[in-house]
Amino acid sequence: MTPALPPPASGRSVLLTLGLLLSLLSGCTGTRRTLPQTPTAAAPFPPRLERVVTPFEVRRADGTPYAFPFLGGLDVPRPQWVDIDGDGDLDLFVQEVTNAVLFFENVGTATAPELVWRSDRFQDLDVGEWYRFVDLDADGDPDLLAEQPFSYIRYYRNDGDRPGPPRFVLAADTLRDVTGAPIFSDRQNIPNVTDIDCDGQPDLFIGRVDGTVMRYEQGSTDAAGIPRFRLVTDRFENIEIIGQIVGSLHGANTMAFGDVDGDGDEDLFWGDFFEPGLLLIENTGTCGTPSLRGEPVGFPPGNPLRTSGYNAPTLGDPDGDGDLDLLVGVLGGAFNANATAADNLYFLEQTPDGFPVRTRRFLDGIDVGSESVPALADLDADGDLDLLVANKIVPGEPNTSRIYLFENQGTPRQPAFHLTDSLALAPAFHYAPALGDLDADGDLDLLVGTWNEGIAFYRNEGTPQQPDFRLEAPGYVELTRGSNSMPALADLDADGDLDLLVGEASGTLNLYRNEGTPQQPAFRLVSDAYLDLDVGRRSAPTLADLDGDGDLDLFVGAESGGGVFLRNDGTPQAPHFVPNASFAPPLPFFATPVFADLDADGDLDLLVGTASGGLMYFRNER
Amino acid sequence: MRYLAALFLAVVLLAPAGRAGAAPPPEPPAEIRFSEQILPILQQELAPVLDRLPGLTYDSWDGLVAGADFGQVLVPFDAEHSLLVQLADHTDGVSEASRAQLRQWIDEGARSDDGTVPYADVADRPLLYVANQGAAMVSVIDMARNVVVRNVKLQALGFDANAKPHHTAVEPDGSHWYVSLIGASQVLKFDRDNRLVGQVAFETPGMLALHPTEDLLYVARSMMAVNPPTRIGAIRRSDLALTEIDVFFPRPHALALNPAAGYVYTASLAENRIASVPVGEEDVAELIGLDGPVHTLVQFAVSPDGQTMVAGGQLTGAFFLFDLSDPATPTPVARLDLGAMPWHPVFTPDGRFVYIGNQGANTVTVVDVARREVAAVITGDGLAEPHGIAVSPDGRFVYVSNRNLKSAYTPRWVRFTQEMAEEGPAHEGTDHAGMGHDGHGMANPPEPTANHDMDHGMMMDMEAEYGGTVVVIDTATQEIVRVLELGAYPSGMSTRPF
Repeated sequence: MTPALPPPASGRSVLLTLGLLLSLLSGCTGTRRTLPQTPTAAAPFPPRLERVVTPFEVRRADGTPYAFPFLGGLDVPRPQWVDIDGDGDLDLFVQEVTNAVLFFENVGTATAPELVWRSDRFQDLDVGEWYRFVDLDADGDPDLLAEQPFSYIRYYRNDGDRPGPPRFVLAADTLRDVTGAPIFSDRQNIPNVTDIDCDGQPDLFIGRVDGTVMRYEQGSTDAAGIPRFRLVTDRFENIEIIGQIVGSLHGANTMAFGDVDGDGDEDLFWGDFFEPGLLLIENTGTCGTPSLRGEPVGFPPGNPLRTSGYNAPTLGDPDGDGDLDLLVGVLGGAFNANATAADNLYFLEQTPDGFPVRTRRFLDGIDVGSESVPALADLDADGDLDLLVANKIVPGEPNTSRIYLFENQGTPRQPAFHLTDSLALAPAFHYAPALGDLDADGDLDLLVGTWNEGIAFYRNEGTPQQPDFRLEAPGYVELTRGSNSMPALADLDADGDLDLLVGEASGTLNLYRNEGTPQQPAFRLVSDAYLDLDVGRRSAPTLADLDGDGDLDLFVGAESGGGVFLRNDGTPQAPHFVPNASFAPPLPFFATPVFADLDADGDLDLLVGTASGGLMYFRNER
Repeated sequence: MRYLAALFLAVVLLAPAGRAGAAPPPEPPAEIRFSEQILPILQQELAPVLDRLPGLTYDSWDGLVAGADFGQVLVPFDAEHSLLVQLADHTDGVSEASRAQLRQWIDEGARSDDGTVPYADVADRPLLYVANQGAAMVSVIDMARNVVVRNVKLQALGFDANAKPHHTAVEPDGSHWYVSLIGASQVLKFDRDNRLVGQVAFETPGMLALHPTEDLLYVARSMMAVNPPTRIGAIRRSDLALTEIDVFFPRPHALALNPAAGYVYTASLAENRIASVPVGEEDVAELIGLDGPVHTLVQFAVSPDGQTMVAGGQLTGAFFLFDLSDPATPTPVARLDLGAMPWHPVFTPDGRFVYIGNQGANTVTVVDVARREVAAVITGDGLAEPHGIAVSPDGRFVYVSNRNLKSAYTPRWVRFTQEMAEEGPAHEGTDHAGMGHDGHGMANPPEPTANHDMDHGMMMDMEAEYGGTVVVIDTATQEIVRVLELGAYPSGMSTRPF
C-alpha cells in the first residue's frame, strides 16, 4: 500500500538536493534520526538542553492542537488534584513512572483552570510506586505519603509556608501503628487518606488483595512528632470487593474518597485489576457516622466506565462549579492493557445529567501507545523536517506496530506538525524507522527495525515529494542474536555511502559497514559488540555532530533512561568514539533519541521517544 | 471468618481466669526432657483435650510423634504452628509455665530424651516445599510420610514479615531448593539442610520453573507492582547470574518448561498471549494469541512427554489443552469449562491425568488427558481456595495448597477447643468422628456473632497466625487422605522434578 502523503510544496526538491549534497560533503548522517543533518560550525559543547513540553504547535488528525504535545505520553497515570501552593486553585499531580511525580501548576483560577507542566519529578521526591498528598499534621498544607520500597509508607512533612511553594522534608521512612509496628501496604494497592468520620483525625485506608479494606485512624504521635495510626479494623465496613467477572481476586487496587453526591459525607470509589470499570460504594450514613455497607455499583450509574481495568480515580472540582468531577487514570488491568496505552486519563465532569466523559486524554499530547521511536526527515521535500513516530503495538490492535506521520506544515524556523497519516507496512511488532537514500535516486528509503523480525528494507518508489515505500526485503538485516533492532544510518567512513549502526534489546551495538555503493548498498557485519558498549538494555543509537567539529558523535539511548554519549575523537573517515560523561541529558525510560535542528537556529535540539509512548523535546539553548 | 468467631467464643469460655495481667511465667529450665517435663504436662494438663484427638497416644514420645489419625500434632522447631501448643494456649487448666515449657521444647526440636528430632530422617525421601505467602515461611513436607518436617522462617534469616514467599523449585537431586519472594523482590537459594546459600534480586518474582538438566531456573513476575517489567528471568543456578528475557507482553505470570523440546513458556495475566522461548536463549521464538475474552492464564503444566500443555483461565474458568507437536507454537486443541477460577495444574507422572484446583469453588478437577474430559471433581474438608499443586514422584499422591483466606476450613485447634467449650472434657466413648478428615463430618462452628470491629486485634492475631492447608489426595481413590495445616496463605509449591 502507498501511504497517502500530502502533495509537495514548490522548491522542496531543491532544498532536499542541497541537503543531500551537504551530507555527502560533510560526512553527516542519513539516518532515521536526522536527514539531512548539517554540522554546526561552532556549537558549544556540551549542549545546554531545556525540556519544553509545548515548544511549537502539534495538531491531531482532526486539526486541533495538543495541549501538551511533548509531555512524553502516559501509560499508567496515577492522578491527584491538590492545591499545592495555597493559591486557591487545584494543581495536578500525575505519577507515570516509579519514584517520580509529574507536576502541573494551575496558573488559572479556581473556576478557569490553566494547567502548566512544571516538572517530571516534583521536587525530586522519591515516591516509590504511589503517592498521596494529605494534611497529616493539621497545619493547613498538604503533606505527602508515598511508598517506602517495598510496601511500607514514607512520610514527607510539608514545612513550607502558605501561600507559597511547599517544602517537603522526609519525616519518617516508615509510618507505624500505635504499637510501633510498621504499617504494611502492598505496593500495587494504592491506599488513601480521608477523615471518614469527621472527627478531625485522618483515617488511612489500605486495600488488600482479597478485596477487603483496612482502616487506621491517626492517633498519637511519637517522640519526633510523627503521627502514629491505630488499627480500627481490618475489614472496614465488611467491604469485600469481588471482581465482576467470576469473583476474581489475586489483584491490585486503588481507591479514592469524595462527597460525590453532595450529601455531606465521603463516598468511596474503587478501582481494581480485575474490574474494568470504577465501583462506587455510597456512604449512606452521615459525616459523623459513616455507613458504607451497600453494594458496590458501577460508576457512573447507567453508563458505567469501561476500560482495560485497574482504574485510579481522584476527585476534585477543578472547574470550581461546586461539585466534584472525576479524573481517572487507567493503569491497565486484566482487560487488554494495551488497548488503553494511549487513552488512559479520563475526565468525567459532573453535570446535572450525570458524569459524561469529556476526554480520555486529559493531558493530551503525542502518544502512540508505548515505547515510541521517532524519526525526523524531510518526507515531502519542502525544506523542513517531518516527524515519524512508531510504537510497540497499536493500541487496540494486537497484531502490529504502526508508524505515524506528522507532517511539518510550518517552516524550518517554526515547525508545526500535523498528524496526517500512517505508513502502510508489513505487520510486525515494534517498528523502528530509519531513513536514508540507499539507492542514490534522490529520495529517502526506509529501514524498519522490528521486535524479532530483523530489519526490513522499504525502497522509496515514489518521489522526494511523495514517497511510496515498497517492501524490498523483510529480513534485510538480521541480528546475530537479540531482538528490538534499532537501526541508524550514517556514513561512518566518509566514503559516500550510508553505513548502519543497530541497537538491540541486549544493550549492545552492531556495526554494519556498507561495502556496496551509494546506488547498491551491501551491509557487512563488522561487529555485533561494537565498541564493547553495553547500555544495559535496549540500545538506541543516533549520530550527530554534537560538538561541531565536523564529524559524527554517537549517543545511545537506553531502557533505564538517560544514555551514553561517545564523542568522536577521530575523523569523519576514521571515527574514534570515546565515552564522554560531560553530556548526560535527563532522558526518560526506553529513551530513543534523535537530534535535529528543529528551529533552524544552528544547533541541534533533541527529540526522544519514551516508554510511555510519547515524545519529549529538549531545546538546545546553546 | 466463621472459625474466628468460633474461636472468639472458645477463648472467652476457656481463657484461664486471671490470665490477662498475670505475672510472667517462671523461667523454664535450660534443658527440657520429654519424660520429665513434657509428658507430665500432656498427661495431667492437656489430657482433656488430647483425649479428643482420635488415634493419638501420648504416653510416650513415639506415640506423640506418631500423631493422631488426622496427622501430626507438632512441627519440630516450630511451636507456633504446632497443634499441641495451639491447644495448650487455648485450653483451660494449662499453666503458663507448662505452655512455656511446651513451646521451648518444640522450638528446640521436640527431641526425645535421647535427642532424636521428629521426622528428621528424611534421607533421600522426596520433599515438598510449600511457600506460605502470608507467613514469610516455607514448609517442608516429607512426601513419604505426609508430615511437615520443618518450617523455614524467613524472618529469622533477616527478611521482612511481608517477604511473601510465592513459589518454590527443587533441584533434581534434592540438594537445593529455591523460593521467590514477591514482597522482597528476591529469589533465594537454600541447601537441603535449609541453609540460605544465595540470593538474587529480581523485581516482583512469581512463578519458578527449574530445568532438570540445564543450569537454569526461570522466574516470572507476580502482581506486586503497578507496572512490572515485561520480562521473565533466567537464573544460572550455579552462580545465580541473572539474564532477563523480554517476552513483549505485560505481567508474564504462568511459567513452565518443556525440557524434552527445549522451550520455556509464559503467559500474560492481562491479555491472551503466550510466549515460547528456546531454553538458554534470550529471545522469544513465538507469540501465540488466544481467542475470546481475556482468560488470565494463571499457570501452565507440561506433560512428561512434552507433547501437551495445560492451563486454566482465572477470569473465564476455561481449561485449555495445548498441542506441543510444534513446541515453539503451543496450539489450543481442547477447552473444558471447569468453573470458578482454575489455578495451578499438574500432570501425573504417567501423563494420563491433570489435577487442577478451582480456587473459586474449593474443588479439584481431574482431567483425563487422552479423552479430554473431566474424570472427577474432588471436594472435601481442607480444600479452601486451592492454589499450588504438586504430585509425588510415584504418582500416588497429589498435594494441593489452600489459601483459606475466606476461612472455609476451620483449623483443628479451633474445632477441638470449641468442642471443649460446648461439651466439656472428653469422656470414654466420646465420638471423635467430627475431628477426623477421613470422610467424617466436622463439627460446625456457629455463625459469627462477634463484630470484627469490636475485637479486631484478636481476630488479626488469629488470621495472621493460622491459615491454610495442604490436602493430600490419593490418586487411586481421588479422596483426600490427609489435611496438613500450615501457615498463612500457602501458595506455590514444588518437589524435585521427575
